Amino acid sequence: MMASEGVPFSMFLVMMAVFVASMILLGWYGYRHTKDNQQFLLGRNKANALLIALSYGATFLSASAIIGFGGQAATHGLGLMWLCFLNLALGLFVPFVLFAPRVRKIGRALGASTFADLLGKIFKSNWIRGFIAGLIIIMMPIYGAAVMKGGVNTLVVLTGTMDLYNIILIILAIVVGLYVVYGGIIAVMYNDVLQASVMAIGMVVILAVTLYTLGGFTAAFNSLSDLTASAGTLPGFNGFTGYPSFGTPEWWTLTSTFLLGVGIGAMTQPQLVVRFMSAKDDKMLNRSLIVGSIFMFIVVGCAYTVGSMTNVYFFNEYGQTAFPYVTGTLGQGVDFIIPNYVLDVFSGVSLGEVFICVFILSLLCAAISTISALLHTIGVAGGHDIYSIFRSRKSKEQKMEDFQSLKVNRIVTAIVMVLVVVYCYLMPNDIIAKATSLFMGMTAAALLPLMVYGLYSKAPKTKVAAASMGVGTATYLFWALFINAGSSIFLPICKWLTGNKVLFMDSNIMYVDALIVALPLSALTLLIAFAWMRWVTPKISKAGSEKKGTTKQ
Amino acid sequence: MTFFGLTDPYIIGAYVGCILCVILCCGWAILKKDKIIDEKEGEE
Repeated sequence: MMASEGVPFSMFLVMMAVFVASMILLGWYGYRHTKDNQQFLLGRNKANALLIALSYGATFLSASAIIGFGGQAATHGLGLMWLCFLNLALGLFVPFVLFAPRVRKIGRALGASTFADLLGKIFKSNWIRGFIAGLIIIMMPIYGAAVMKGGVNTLVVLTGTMDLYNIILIILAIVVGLYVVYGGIIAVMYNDVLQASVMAIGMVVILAVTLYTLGGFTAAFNSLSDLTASAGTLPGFNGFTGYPSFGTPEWWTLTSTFLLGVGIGAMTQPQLVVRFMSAKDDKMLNRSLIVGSIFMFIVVGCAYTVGSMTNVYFFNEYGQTAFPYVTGTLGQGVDFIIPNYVLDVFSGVSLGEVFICVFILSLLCAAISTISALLHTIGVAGGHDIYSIFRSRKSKEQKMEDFQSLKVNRIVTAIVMVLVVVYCYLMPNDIIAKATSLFMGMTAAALLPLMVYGLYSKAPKTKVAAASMGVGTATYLFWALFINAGSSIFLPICKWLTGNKVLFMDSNIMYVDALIVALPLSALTLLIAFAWMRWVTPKISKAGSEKKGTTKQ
Repeated sequence: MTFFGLTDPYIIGAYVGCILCVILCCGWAILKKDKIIDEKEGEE
């Protein structure tokens, strides 16, 4: 049996069998070494530098980075390379240097096992813990579903098995669900290492073939500079090798949604922060920066560079740049640009089918490594954090307690996997990059100021954190649903209420991402609340006690 | 100024920034002196 258009089906099946067997083997390893709930949540607290670096990198860089943002690089040009820079600077260096050592130290001192648990214990608040766990449970499945859709979309395009979409989606969900449910974080992290290695190899291969086909970096960039097509972009687009004009709709979309929304948002990803708590010591955290940075630069840099260069290839072959060719001629979306390019470019290369298989595998790895981490994070937010809060409310003492149940964690994680699959069917197409930006932006607006405050303050106040978190979340939701045109498609409340997609149509403000407004407001609220609690509240209570004393006399 | 055929300073800056960031990460990892604190709790 041959796939209609793509790699031979038998080759694909062999490759998948080997890959699935490896995942199950590592899942079994995780299962054997997961003796209690604590090990399901954090492993054995002895993760080395390579394990942390590749697990962090593979979780961070999903199919969204390669397919979603690779497709956006094909549409908006090399300006996306600033996202590669932000991923390295804000997504890797800053978290590892400023947050990781404190997260590990405080997390262990307080006995925290999850992100929500950590912040809940820092602020001594079950309410904060529950809010963060709720945010993870509600918002993270959107990101997970986007990643899963990206992985399956690519798989069916490259193997020509569009009619098997549903079966492949469900099989993928079952395999990932099994190894996460039974193997816990140990299986997730070891699988991440395997998957990260395949991802790096796949991206280097595709860059090499692209450069070979287009005549090297200089020739490819020169050809890219000559292309003037702007289909799929907004006013202000300055070509594929130029940054958009300042203040234009294209500039706002690229800068606020894609660069800052994802770049800043990466700093507060719950699934990534947990990696810091698994580290053996601070030395391992520092050492992991070497492998982590090189891995991230290879995967993201290759994806965005190749994404832009696909325009030259499609123009040379079909007389159209990537966006009009894939969305117009082929009738597919932006998320299909990279898969179609790979299928096309490798068809003219000897051993091309093997390369396509390697690429499929690397994309699957990118998708699975992220989904598994998300699944584990969402599962433990429900099975550990919410469960502990629920149980401690029932107990008479009403204090912060951890109720460990491996069984509950496993059940909740399995339920979450089903939820993610349902989300896949509910979500519109071509939203991989936007869904990623939405989730990361939301977590940054709600949690970044609070996390910095919690990690660096000697006596963090619950009310200060709650004020910042409340303002950040409310502002982000309002802006995302009523102001920003890109994010309002997820839940079109504004259209139901006003008849318009957003409140201010025909204004550049509709291109401004919610994070640009919500994060500064959240940080400002934290500063004001902190100042109030520090200087105003003591004066008021002092004045009150003096007055009370005078009255008594 | 051209950088492998690129002329826009913002795009060149992005590539140079990425390379500098990788160097910074590697430099930090190699040169940072680790404090030996609470290491025992990390061992099994």
